[in-house]
Amino acid sequence: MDGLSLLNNPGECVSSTDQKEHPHCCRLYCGPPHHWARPTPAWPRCSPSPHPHTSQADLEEGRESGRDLQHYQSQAKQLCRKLNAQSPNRCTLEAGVMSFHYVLEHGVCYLALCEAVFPKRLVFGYLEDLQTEFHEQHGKKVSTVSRPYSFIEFDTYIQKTKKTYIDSRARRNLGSINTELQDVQRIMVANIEEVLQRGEALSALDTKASNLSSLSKKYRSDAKYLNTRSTYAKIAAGAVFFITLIVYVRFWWI
Amino acid sequence: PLLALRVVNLLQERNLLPLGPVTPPTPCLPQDLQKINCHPEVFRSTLTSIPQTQSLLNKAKLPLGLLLHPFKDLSQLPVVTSSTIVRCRSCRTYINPFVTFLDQRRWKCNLCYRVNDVPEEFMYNPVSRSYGEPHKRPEVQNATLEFIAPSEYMLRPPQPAVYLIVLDVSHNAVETGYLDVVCQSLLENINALPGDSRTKIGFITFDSTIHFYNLQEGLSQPQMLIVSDIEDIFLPTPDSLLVNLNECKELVQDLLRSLPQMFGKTMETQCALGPALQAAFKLLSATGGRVSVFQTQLPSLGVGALKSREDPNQRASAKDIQHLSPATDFYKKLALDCSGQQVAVDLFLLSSQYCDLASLGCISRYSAGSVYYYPSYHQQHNPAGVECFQKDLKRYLTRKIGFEAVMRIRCSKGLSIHTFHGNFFVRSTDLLSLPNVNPDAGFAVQMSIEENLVDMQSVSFQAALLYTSSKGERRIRVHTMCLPVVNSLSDIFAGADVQAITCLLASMAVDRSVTASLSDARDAMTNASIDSLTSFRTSVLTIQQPGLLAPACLRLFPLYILALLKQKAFRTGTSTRLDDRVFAMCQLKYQPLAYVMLMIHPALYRVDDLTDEGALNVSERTIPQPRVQQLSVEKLSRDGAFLMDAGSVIYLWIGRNCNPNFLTQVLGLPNYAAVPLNMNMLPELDTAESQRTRVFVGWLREQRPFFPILHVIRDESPLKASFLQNMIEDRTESALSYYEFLLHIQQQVSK
Repeated sequence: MDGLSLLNNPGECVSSTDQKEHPHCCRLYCGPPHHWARPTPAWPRCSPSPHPHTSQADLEEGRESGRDLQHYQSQAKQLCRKLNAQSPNRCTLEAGVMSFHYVLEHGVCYLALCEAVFPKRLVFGYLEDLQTEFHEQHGKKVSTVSRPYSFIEFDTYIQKTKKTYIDSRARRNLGSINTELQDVQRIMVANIEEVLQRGEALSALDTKASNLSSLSKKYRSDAKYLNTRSTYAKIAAGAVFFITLIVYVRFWWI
Repeated sequence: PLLALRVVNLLQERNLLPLGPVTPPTPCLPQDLQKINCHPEVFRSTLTSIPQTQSLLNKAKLPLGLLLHPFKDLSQLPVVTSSTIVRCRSCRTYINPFVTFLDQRRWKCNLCYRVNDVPEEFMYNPVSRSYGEPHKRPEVQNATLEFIAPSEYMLRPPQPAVYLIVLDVSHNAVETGYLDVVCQSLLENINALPGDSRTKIGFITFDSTIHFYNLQEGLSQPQMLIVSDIEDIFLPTPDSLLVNLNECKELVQDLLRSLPQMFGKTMETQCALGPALQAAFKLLSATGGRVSVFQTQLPSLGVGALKSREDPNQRASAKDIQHLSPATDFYKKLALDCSGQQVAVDLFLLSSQYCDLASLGCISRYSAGSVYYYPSYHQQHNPAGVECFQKDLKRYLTRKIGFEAVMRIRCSKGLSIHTFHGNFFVRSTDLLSLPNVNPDAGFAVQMSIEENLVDMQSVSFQAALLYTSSKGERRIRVHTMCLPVVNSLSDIFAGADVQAITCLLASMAVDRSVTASLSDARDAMTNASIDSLTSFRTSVLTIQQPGLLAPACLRLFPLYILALLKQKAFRTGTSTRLDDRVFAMCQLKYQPLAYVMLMIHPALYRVDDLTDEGALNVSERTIPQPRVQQLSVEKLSRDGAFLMDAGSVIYLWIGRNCNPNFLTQVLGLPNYAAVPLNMNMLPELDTAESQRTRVFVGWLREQRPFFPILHVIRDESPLKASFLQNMIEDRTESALSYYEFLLHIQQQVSK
C-alpha cells in the first residue's frame, strides 16, 4: 500500500447506521471561589475588591435541556458563595436527579455535578485527583490571582481526567483507588435546597430562639425581684399595723 | 483651516499631488485635546468638523461617516487591570479623555451628558500613587487603551484558540500544487500559531466525499475517516477530530507531511464544498474558532453547488454587469449560523476559472472572516503568485487574533449610525458580532444628524471591542475620538478628509452596485464630486471665477473619483473577469483606509535617480523618499525607471532608453534587451544604487501586513497592460482622461 499508510482500514467508511451511541457524559463543573477563603475584612488598600469568580468550568451538552443547565449553573454559583471555612470539606448535595459533590482544600473548591446514581467513590476519586494536581501546579499562585479564569489552562487536565473516570473500561483499572476513600460513607449528604435556602431560615430561627430564652430568663429574675419586694412591703405593712394596734391597746386601756 | 480653503482652479493647476503621502486633516480642537485624540490611522471621520444640523450637512453634499481600524497592530497600547471599569450609567460609555470632571467626585459623560459619580477606587491613581486626581488616571489620559475584562463581560468561559483547516483535494486542486505550500507553511509556523496550552487544531479534506482525520493521542499515525453521505453530513467520531495541539503535535506534523502525497494521484474532479463547510460548522459549533477553507474550483456537488454564471463575452461590456449578487443564500445562512456559534470562516480562492466569488464570499462576509484570492495560481506557471501566497499564509497564521468578539460604536447625543460596512453580522441595532477579529480588517459606518447639535462645542465617538485573546484573556479595546462642531459651510469644507470620503464612497458604491446596478453606482460617484464642488461654488465662494474651483483640501477629490471609476471594481468597457471584479469590491469594503487608497490611486515614483536627499533615517537605514508623480504616461520618461506601488502589487517599469547605469547597478543586466519578461526580484548587488532601491522597496513592503509582488516590466511584458491601466489621468477607449473628466464636471457644476 504505497502512500496510503495513513488509512488503518483502507476504505473505511462510517455510515450513519454504524454510529456508536455516545456514553452518557457526566457534566462536571469545577472552580475555586476566591473571596471566602480569606479572613475578612482587612484588605490592603490597592488590591482589587473581592469578587466571586470561577476559574474554570467545563459544561458539556448532555441530554438535558439548556434551561436545566442554567438552573444547575446558578445553583452552583450560589453554593460557591455560601461555602465558608466552617463548611465540611467533603460533601454531597442532592438536587433531584443530579447531585453536587465537592472537595474543599487549601482555600479552593472543586465542584462536580453528575447524576445521583453515579458512584460516589469515582466522583471523589476524580475530585481528589484534580485537587492534588491543581495544588501541585498552581497552589502557590491562588493568592495572587487578579483576573477571572486565570487558571483556564488547567481545563485540559480536567478534560483528560474526566475521560478516564467516565470510560467504563478504565474504571475497572481504578480499582486501586485510594483506601482513604473507603470512608466515603461518612461524607455528609445533605439536600441542596436546604443548604441554599433553609439554612438561612434555620439560623434566623436559632437566633430568635436564643434571644427568646435569654429574654425570658431576664423576665424571670425581674419577676422574682418584684415578688420579693412586694413580700417585704406586705410584711412591713403588717408590722406597722401590729405595732399601731399594740400602742392603741396600751394607751386606751390605761 | 485657511490653508485648507485656499481656492484651487483644477483646470489650471496640474501638480496637485503633495510631495509625500497625503496627510489627514487635523481637527480644530484646542491643542491639549488634540494631543490626546485618537490616532487617525485607527479612527477617522470623513468630516473633521461635524456640521451642526442635518440640513447643513445636506447642503455640503458630502457623506458623513467614520472609518475605523480597531484591532490594528499598535506599538504602544496601555493595558489597564482594574476591578472597576468606570462607565456612564445611562449610555454605558467608557470613561475617556474627553469627559468633563465637575469636581473631584463627579464626571459628565461626553456622549449623553449625564452626570455620574466617580467610584471610590477610581480616586486612587496606581501609576502616580496619588489620591484625589481621577483625571490623571490612564483611562482619562489615553484615547486608545485596553481593559482586562472582569467576569461580567463573559457569557461563557473564554474559549481556547481553535483552528480548523479545510482543504480541497480534487484533481484540479492538487494540480495547482497549493497543497504543498499550505502543508509546508503550517509545518513551519506550527509553533507560532497564536494560542496557549489549550489550542486545538483539526483538518478536513474534501473532494466528492468528506475526509476527517482522527488524531487522538496514542495513535501511531493519523487515521482517515471518509464520510460519503454528503446529503446528510455527520461527524464520524465525537472527539479526537479536533485535538489539543501540544499533546498531538507529532501526529499533526505526520499528517501535514503526508497529505500532499496522499492525494498526489487522485482522479476525483468533483468538489463538495457545501457539505464540507457544514461538517466544519458541526465540528466547531461547541467551542467556536476559525475555519480556513482552501478552494480551487466551482463547488459542483451537494448543497451549495454553483453553476458558472459568467459570460466571457460580457466582460468588456460597456453596460451593466450582471451577477454581482449571490446566486444562493446557502452561504449567507451558513455564515449566520457560524456567527451565532462564534465560528469565523476565512476563504482562500486559488483558481484560474470562474468560482462565483459573489456567492462564496458570503461565507466570510457575515462570519467576520476574510477572503484571499489568487487568480491563476499554479506552482509552475506562476512562481510569483506562489511566493505571494506563502508570505500571505505566514502572516495569516501568525498574526494576532481575537475570538468571540463584539463591537459597539457609540456617538454623542444627536448623531446616529445607520449603515455599517465591513465583514461582520449586525446583531441588534448597533452591536457588531465578530466571531474573529484580526488586525487587517477595516470597518466603516455612515452617520446622520438626528437632532441639531446646538450648544455643543464638540462631539465624541467611541468604539469598544470586547474580545477573547488567544491566551484566554477577555479584553476590551476602547478608542475614543473627539471632533469639533461647526455651523458654517466653509468650516465644514475646511475639515473635509478627501481620502476618508473617497473610501466611504467606494463602500457605498459597492453596496449600490449589488442592490441596484453598476451604472447607478458609477453615476452616484460622479454626482458626489459634482454636487460637492457645486455646493462649494455656490455657498462658499465669494468671487466667481472661471474654471473648476475647489478648496485645497478637496483638490484631489475628482482625481480619486476618476480613479474609482477606472478601478477594477467599477470599470466598464475594459475586459474584467467577474471574480476579479467581485474581489476588488470585497477589498474596497474590507481593507483599512491606507491600503484602499493605494489600491485606488497607486503611488508612482521615479527610481533611476534615487538620492539620499530628504531621506528618512529609520533604525540606521537611510530610506530615500522620491517624489510622488502623477499617474500619467506623460510623466513616464523613456530614459528612466519608474516604480508604481499599487498596494498588493508593485510594478517596476523600465524605459526603453533607460540609464544603463541603473540597469547594471540595480538590475545586474547589461542592457535593455536583457531584461527578462517575468523578473520578480531585485538582485542583491553591492552597489549603492542597488542598496538604495532595495531599501526603498523593502520600506514600502514593511508598511503593510500583506506581501506585494514585484513585477519588472518592459515594453513586451504581459503585465504592461495592467500597469498602464493604473495610469488614471490618461484617456482610454472606454474612459475619459483626467482633464476631460474635469471639463465634464465643470460643465455640470456651472449649470
